[in-house]
Amino acid sequence: MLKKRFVIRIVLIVLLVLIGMFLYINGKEHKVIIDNKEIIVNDDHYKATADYKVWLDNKEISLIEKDKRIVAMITGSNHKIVIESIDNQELKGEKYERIFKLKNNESALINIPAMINFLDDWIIKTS
Amino acid sequence: MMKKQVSTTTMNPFVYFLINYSVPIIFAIVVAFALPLSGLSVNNVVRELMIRISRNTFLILALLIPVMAGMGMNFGIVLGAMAGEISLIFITDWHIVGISGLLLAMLISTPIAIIFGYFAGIILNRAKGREMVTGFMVSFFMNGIYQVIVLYGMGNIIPISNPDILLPRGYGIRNAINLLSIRQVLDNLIPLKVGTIPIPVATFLFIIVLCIFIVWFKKTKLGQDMRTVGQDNEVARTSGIDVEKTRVLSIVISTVLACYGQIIFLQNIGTMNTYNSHEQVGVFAIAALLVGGASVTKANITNVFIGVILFHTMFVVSPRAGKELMGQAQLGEYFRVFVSYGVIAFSLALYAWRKRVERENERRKVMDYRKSILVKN
Repeated sequence: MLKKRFVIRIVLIVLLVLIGMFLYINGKEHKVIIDNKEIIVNDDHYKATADYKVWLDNKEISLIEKDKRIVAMITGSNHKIVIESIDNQELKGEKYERIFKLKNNESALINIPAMINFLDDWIIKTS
Repeated sequence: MMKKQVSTTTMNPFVYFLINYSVPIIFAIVVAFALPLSGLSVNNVVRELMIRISRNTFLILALLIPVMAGMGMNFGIVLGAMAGEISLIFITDWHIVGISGLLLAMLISTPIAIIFGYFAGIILNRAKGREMVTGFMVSFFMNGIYQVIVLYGMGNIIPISNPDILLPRGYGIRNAINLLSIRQVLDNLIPLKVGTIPIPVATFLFIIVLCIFIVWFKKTKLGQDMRTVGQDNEVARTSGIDVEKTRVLSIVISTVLACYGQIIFLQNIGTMNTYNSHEQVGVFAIAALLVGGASVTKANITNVFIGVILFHTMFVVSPRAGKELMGQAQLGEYFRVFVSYGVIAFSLALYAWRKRVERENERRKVMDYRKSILVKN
């Protein structure tokens, strides 16, 4: 009887710790900097060619103009970024989508020219 | 000459009702006068009242269980509020936002509140019969410890890295913490508007769940034990109930509920005064419960709702009524603080008077019985 009670208590504590960890990971806020600026990779220059509208985790963030940078805050570990080029305030239908993960203390720097050119350095994660 | 005493049991039922419910009746009259004087529209009053009901009810409900266990109004709910605030400091430091942040704060604060409640319960067991004043003093004492921990321990011993909440010297928490990351996340979780009045559905669901819990808890073995302890400690002890343990448990449950209540309260406000958000929690919650017609020995869910509506309607209208009457809104502010303490003092005096009358009646009954035996012999 005592042993059963002890086991139940331990299971309950473990369960609460797991719920706590889940809430911590799920609610953790991360800073994401999105650059629409020229990037140089292996001496190749990738220039910003258009303005883009940005969605992070299906939430519209803002418009990002050429050679500009925006900062957004996101929560959780799994994320999706969608960008669509815009011209004269009209969406052009040219959409790019990427999925990324962030660890607990990580922030991210995303470069749009690198992203649309499918470069490996499209995202830099920093602690 | 012996003073003539009025029996509360043989009294005219109407007079008995008036005495029992004198506080809510007086409040209802004051509110009825102040409401038109304030010049506020019904829409404004209802909107403000809706916010205040959702913000305060959970804290007031936390007071019911110790009353059931005969420990009076638990001024120690301040300890629960402190536990809630400590957890809010942590989630702000860790940048945990949204509903996850709120739930994590509740989770972290639970063991802290249990420890605080256990500590308070043990002290209150050593001060039987004087639980309320002891609870009041315990909350003052714990406030000192809380301040030492938050002002010197956090950032020094307890790691805190967020510069937004740390004092410029590198340790200690700032006077005010911005809770924007969890501001009204519970209130706005299920959005609903009736006309122009927003209804915080999720917060009300929390309150309803707590009401159901209290009703259910009264029917459990522990709930029944608490009622027995509340009626008579000696009778409870002879029935095999561990009186001390039951009393401690009632305080622990109340402290944990108060800590959730404080988190709900602060998520609604959106900012936290680190060093004094918790100070008035006990007084205002107890005053609201007493305004609802509760007494030191008897309180139920209905008292909570009547109390929160009457007390906070007065809070809403009194500054404006004060301004209209005297030309100064500040007078209304003073008035509501004066009323909060006044209501507690009045209820305690009424309780003491009734106790004295009942004791006198008991003594008379015994005397009459003895006299009748002597006459027979």
